[in-house]
Amino acid sequence: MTGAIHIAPSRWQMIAVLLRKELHEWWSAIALGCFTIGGFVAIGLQSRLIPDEAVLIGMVISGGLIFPLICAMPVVAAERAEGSVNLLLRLPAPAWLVLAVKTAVAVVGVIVPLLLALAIMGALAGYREVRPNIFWALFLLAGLMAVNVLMWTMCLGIRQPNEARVGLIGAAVCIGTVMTMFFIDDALSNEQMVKAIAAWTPVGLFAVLDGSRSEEFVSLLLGVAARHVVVLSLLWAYAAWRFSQPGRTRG
Amino acid sequence: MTSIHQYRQVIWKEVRELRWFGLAGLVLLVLFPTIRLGIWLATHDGSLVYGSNEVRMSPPYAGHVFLLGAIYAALVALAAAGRDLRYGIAAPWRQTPIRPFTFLTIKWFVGLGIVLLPVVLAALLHLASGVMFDPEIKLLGANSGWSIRDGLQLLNSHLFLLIAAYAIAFACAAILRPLMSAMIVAGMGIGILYYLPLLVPALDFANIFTVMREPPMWVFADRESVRYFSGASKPIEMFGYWVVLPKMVGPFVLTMLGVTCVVAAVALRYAVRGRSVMMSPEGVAWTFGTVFLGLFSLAAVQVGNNIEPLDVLDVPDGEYQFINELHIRDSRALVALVGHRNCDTRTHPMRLLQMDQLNEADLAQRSGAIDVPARSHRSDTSNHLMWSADRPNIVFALDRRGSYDKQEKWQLRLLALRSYRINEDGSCHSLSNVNLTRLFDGVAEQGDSHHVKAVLRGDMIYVLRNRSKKGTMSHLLVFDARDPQALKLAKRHEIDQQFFRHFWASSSSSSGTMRLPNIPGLSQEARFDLLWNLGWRSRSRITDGKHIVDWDRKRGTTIYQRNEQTDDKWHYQRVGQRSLTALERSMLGDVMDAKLADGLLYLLTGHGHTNLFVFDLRDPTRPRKIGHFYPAGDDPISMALDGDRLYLSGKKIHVLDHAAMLTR
Repeated sequence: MTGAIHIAPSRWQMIAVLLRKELHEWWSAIALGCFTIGGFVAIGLQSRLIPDEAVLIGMVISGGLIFPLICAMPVVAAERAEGSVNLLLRLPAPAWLVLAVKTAVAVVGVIVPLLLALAIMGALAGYREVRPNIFWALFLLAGLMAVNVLMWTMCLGIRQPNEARVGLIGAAVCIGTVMTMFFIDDALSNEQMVKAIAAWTPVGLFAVLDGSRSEEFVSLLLGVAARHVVVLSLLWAYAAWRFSQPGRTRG
Repeated sequence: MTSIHQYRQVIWKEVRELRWFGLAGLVLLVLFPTIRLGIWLATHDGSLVYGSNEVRMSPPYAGHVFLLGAIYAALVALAAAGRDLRYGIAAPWRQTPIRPFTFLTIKWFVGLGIVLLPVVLAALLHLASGVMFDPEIKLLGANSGWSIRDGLQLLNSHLFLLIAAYAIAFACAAILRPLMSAMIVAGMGIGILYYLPLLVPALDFANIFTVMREPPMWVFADRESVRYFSGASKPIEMFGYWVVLPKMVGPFVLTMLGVTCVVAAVALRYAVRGRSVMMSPEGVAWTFGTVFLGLFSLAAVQVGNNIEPLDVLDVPDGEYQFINELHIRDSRALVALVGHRNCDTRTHPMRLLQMDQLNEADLAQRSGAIDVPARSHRSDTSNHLMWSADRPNIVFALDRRGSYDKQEKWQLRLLALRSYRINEDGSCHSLSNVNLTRLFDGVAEQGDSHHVKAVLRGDMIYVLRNRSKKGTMSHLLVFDARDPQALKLAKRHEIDQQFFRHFWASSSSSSGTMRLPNIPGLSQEARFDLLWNLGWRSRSRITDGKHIVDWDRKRGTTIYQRNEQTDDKWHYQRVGQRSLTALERSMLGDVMDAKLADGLLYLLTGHGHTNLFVFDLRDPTRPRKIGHFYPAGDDPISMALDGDRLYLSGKKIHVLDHAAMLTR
């Protein structure tokens, strides 16, 4: 009597397979981010059409807000729209692992263009117009904001059936954060408290930038990063739980 | 036959589908600003104007609509059109008694209504809250404050932009597949609509940017407020109100409305026929990224920075003070700084620094030593400094002081010629003070301050008060400045009518004549020098005597060359012209300073930010642009040339290599 011998792949083999799949899907988006953000920074710095600080702020807006928002839309929703999510969930790997690989590649995808921009900035301009603490504060701000926007949009949109709805959720997160900060700024006279609250929000990280003008920048940054690790871990845990329940998708 | 009932059903279906968007719009554009307004009123004594310093808040409705309106309109349009048109018009809708075109038209108008509802409500609340909580506004039209103007602008210009944004997004969603591609194209389209001249500089020819960014399409205002609206046509009085209709608005609105309607109609017809354009979102993103970087590169080539400064000297506390004047000769420099860290924004103390060699260390160490007259509350003082390297410790100043009257009109109150000595320890003390107001028989005439100028030539100071009205006389006072402690009036000339007269038939004429002032005892060159320094310096021209260089945004740079002269007239003929590209034109704003040296023209100009244009006029028949410098992070306001170095001064001093320019 003969029968097929079923050898279950190890967890590392599964991770490698999933990584290969994700990178195959992501390379074009990463290249696009590098091309546009890196090109903008390179031309802006070399031509000196605008101040270096304005180039950096442009990089924060494009690389820390718009690009991650676009990248977060298809992470899970595209799989749902194409129906391939069920195939992923039937793989001999837990759902959370599939989502973890997706998340890791997405985070790399939004960080790589920023690192390229950092390299270009260092090579072409350095600190010629921007003070070192402002320079690093803006880059760290861009990185933190990129990861935040990506994670908030992806995790809150985990149940949505298509990319457009995830995009709506991302827009709601960003606009909602800004509106909330307006309210808090209007209502609270204590500036320190406003900054402390802002540091919890996905796009209200400007408290870090303000702190860069003081000597307490490093401790402030570490504190903000620790808070975001907590928030993003909770968000991701929620997303992993929802991802494993395909029957509870909206729409 | 289609019944009214069926139409009503379709309308209600659309309303139901978009109801959450409508609610979101009300929350974002009406509720949130109302809460913010409420918080302000609760914490600021129930008024939009608070405290003795008149801290002012404009109701936040207009700001919310401007920030979020286009995003909101685009999302509604994408949702309205994308829902039933994801893969063409869904089959069930082709089988209903309502024709597809009618169905899509209903979609269009219901979506538009959902967009307009919160926007119009926000505009009305903006106007109402301005009238209710701004104590300076008694009634709409009686005294239009900023909040009223914002509200009216919101009602017309923002509204129009929102409708255009909605139309673009709806058209994209109707014909482009998948929806992601439509979103990207619509986003880029709306971005282009809002920032048109940045991406398509050629359209700046039509001045669309001006109309779009400051577009009072129709404005009800009172007489006093009309002056705020630049580019407006003559106001028309209607029913006791002034209606201002800017000249550009008619063609602009009609053109944009026509384009919007045509695009929407074509898109609808296209969608009704079941056709669509398949575009990969990645392909669209790559295309737009490439186009954006291409345009950015084009801008970099045309107006990119191709001059590297030799040195940049930081001014201490550069965030709070700037260099108002920089005089430099044979490396000796006089620096006049305005402002300091604890400076009240309404007072501008000026500090003078004299140094044998311009350097950052002296700027840092010696700043803050000297205070030259601070001004009183709501007055306006300007000091025009005169300095010579022969007597580096002596500074002369034409001191003009005035204040604003109740009608916010500036009145000159005092005019004086002063001299100061800068001591070895950096301190400064006054040596003499000549009251020019008496010598000129009063200077209270409005606008006179702009016509009083002074220049130091050798040991003499020439002070001119120019009069342009017929039947009046211009006065030229000549002071002997050999003893700065006792300035003596040496001569007094009265010149019939205005001092500087020129005979350019029109700005585009090919020739012109300048009449030299009749001042006995001075050579032609000396009179021409006075003519230039006391009169023409404020105009958009510069001269070295042999050439006159004239510039403006439309014609670019024009060079006139002297070809004939009599005792009191010099005749000039146009010999060359260099037009500006559209992008250069957009960056050429008010000229703050100009220098003409060794055939090179340096133009320090700004349209938001300061740029330096460098033109080579050594062959006046073929002028060319050889350099562009953007002093990033700074907005210099003056230039000084000394030997091979050009100094741009503002919050910093940028040192450029003039000799290197000559080799380009």
